[in-house]
Amino acid sequence: MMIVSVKHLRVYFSSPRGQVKALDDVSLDINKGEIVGLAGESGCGKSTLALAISRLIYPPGRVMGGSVEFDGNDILKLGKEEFRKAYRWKKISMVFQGSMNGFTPVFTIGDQIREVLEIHGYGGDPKARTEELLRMVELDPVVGDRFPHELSGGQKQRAFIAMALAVEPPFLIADEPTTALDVVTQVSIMNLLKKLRREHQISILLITHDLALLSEIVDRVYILYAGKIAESGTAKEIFQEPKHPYTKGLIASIPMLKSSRIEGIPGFMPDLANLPPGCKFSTRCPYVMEVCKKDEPRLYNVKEGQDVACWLY
Amino acid sequence: MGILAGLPNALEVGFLVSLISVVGGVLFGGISGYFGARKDSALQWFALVFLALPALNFLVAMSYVVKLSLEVEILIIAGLSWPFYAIIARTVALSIKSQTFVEADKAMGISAQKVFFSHFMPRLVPVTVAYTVLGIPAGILLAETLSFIGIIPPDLITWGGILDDAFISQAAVFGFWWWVVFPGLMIVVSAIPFVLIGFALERIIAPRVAVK
Amino acid sequence: MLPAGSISESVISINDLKVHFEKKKLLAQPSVVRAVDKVDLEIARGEIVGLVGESGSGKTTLGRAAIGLQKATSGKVFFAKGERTIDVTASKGREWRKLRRDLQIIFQDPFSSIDPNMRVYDALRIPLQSQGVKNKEEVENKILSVFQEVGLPPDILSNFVFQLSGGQRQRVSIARVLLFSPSFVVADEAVSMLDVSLKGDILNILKKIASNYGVAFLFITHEMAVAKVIADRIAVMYLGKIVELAPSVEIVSKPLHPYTQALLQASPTIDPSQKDQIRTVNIRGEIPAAYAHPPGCKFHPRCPFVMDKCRENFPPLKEIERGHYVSCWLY
Repeated sequence: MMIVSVKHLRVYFSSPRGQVKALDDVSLDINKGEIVGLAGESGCGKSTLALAISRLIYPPGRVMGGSVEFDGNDILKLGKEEFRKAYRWKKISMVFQGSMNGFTPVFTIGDQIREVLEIHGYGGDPKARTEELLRMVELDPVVGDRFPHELSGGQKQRAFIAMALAVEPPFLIADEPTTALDVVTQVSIMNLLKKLRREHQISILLITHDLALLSEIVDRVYILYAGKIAESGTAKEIFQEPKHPYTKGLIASIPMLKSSRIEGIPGFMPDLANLPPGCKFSTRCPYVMEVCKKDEPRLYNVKEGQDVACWLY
Repeated sequence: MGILAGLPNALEVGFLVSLISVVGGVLFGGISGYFGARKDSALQWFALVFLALPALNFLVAMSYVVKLSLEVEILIIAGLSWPFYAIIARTVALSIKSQTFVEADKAMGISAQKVFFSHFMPRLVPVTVAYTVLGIPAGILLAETLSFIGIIPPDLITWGGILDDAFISQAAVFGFWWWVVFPGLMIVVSAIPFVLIGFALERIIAPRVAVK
Repeated sequence: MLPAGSISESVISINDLKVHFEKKKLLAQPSVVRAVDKVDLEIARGEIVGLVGESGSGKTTLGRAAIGLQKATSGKVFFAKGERTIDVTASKGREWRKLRRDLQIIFQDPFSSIDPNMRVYDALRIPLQSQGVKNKEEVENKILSVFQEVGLPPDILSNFVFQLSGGQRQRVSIARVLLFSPSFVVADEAVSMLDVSLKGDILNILKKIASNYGVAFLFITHEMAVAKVIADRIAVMYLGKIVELAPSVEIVSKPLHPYTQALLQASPTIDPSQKDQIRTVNIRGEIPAAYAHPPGCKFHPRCPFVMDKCRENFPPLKEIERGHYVSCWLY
């Protein structure tokens, strides 16, 4: 059952270098109780998607086309106030990289969560709900009486997730939620997200450059390259039978305990203001053909549930 | 028209005051920030003493002590304006100092002077130019104010001086309005081009001064 | 501590090194951060030693102290230069500056470790000239040759640094280090800020430099998998101490210290079948604050195998198998 559906979204930024095509005809779906991963490297446009869905795109960025549907309603067409009242934090919530620093240092964690509850018109007992939320993220409720600087990075990130879930949104966007944390804490945050999916059926869009992190938690993955979806499919398909050369290259370049050598992908991601013609990956692709340099491949359903945008298929 | 005769004086004063105080201030602040620690604190204390002095009052007092000529006037005004720029330059210098590339240079054994000239100077120069241009109107205003209240090298024609004469001889009362309006207008108008250029420069310069 | 080799092959010898930072307080006892707390390590010529630890382990401080960028509180670092042995920790002034040629560092952030407002050519010319190379032709040749070494096209030499991408800038950093033909280089999280597809290339460049020119590396990272790919031996650091040291293949297949085991359990793998499984890492709690190290074995509050002995006495680093050292009462 689809809860969020991004259809042919285009978001461009005007810059002195020209028009930066951060997102160019991007579509993705998230179903209820699913964790969907969006993977890509720096400069591919993935954070822009998070901002677009949360309606946080401001000039010089503009949504040039496409729609973002939540339960069938295009939220991009709503008025600002309407979106804020009905959707933000209530239906769509977000946790960004460095969110742990989003707490103001002069109030306790509990105060800040209660403030959020109040702002969004929570009807029940705020103290009880705060405790419930903290327990949900596996924090001792006494944390509610602490100030942000008294907590560790991992604890703060969990507290922020608690705050994001304050009014029970069915959908959470997590943009690089663990990047600044140490490995052991990363695992515990991922475990938390799995628990939220299992026990509360929360749908999550997990955005990160860390493919390995994604592989162990997501149901489905979208691979983003230079503003376009290169490949999408279930976690099993993508990681065990990747089709797109970029996906293959990415997976081969992940350092793992069992690897003795890792290969990078030669070249660099093109400047989103100066994109090459044809397939955007053609400049780095080991299987590049003539047609790749001229025409852009469309997403093609190569297998049940797996789409690739590549001339090889 | 005597008005135009006031122009070169005004420009000269404004420009020189600005140049001396900005360049002096920036070098002072830049070096102070570069050194950091105790030398920095000592230099800052020194600068703050000057900053605390009220310019106009000091100048009036000085006029009774020293025989004023154009050069002296310029030096005194510059001598009181430089701390402002020193503080700005020091802030810029401190932010550069915390950048890793400064430490990288130190790790490669590059000498302190080389570091100053290759990283700090290129960032301080644009600031200096922008503020020198912006400082010209300030210098002009201060000089004209002095002339207006009567502290002026006697052989000089300045707009402030003209205004002063105008008030003393009650020109407005008698209907000779141009004695009042034109000098005042000139003071304001002469400032406009510099302010505009200065702000434009600052806008262009500022994003680049901030290290990425 | 001796590697599988002899002292004469060691180019860097760290003995009993301590780096403590004292924070003076107005009305209380000063608090001490024991960033590096009695570390011994030998690095041989052409060897790459991986130093793995999380933030707060002291690894960056150790790296800096090893080349003399950080003053040591006590202990010594010796550098074997040809026939002579130089005491890095005691060097100052001219001698310290001369050492800068042999002991180099690559920083983590390619965006701030090279001045973005310079031209790439100048970013390399100035350090080269500061060594005394004045001849224009010589300078140009040297720069072109290091550029080739790191796989960068010469035409970007006339660009400004801010026009380069992160991956390119990091290569320039490496080129810059190569200008000095150093004997020992500390790579402080040199690939941590790069995209995954770029890490491999940089790691391969460093490996090539180590094997072709006999440059020793101390590769600091928080990712065990990266360390395993590049390093010959790995040292695991926790709260200022080395808790395990072994050849990289061995430390990954047979980790002895509980902390190393936990790190390996937390290491990323590609395994979609784990989707619904809660991953367990055998470790409790979080890293304690920098100034409040636990007594005895510093890891004991988090250790799943803690015994009474661990709370009181610190276990010395012992060689359990040839070349494999652990600091743990379990052995």
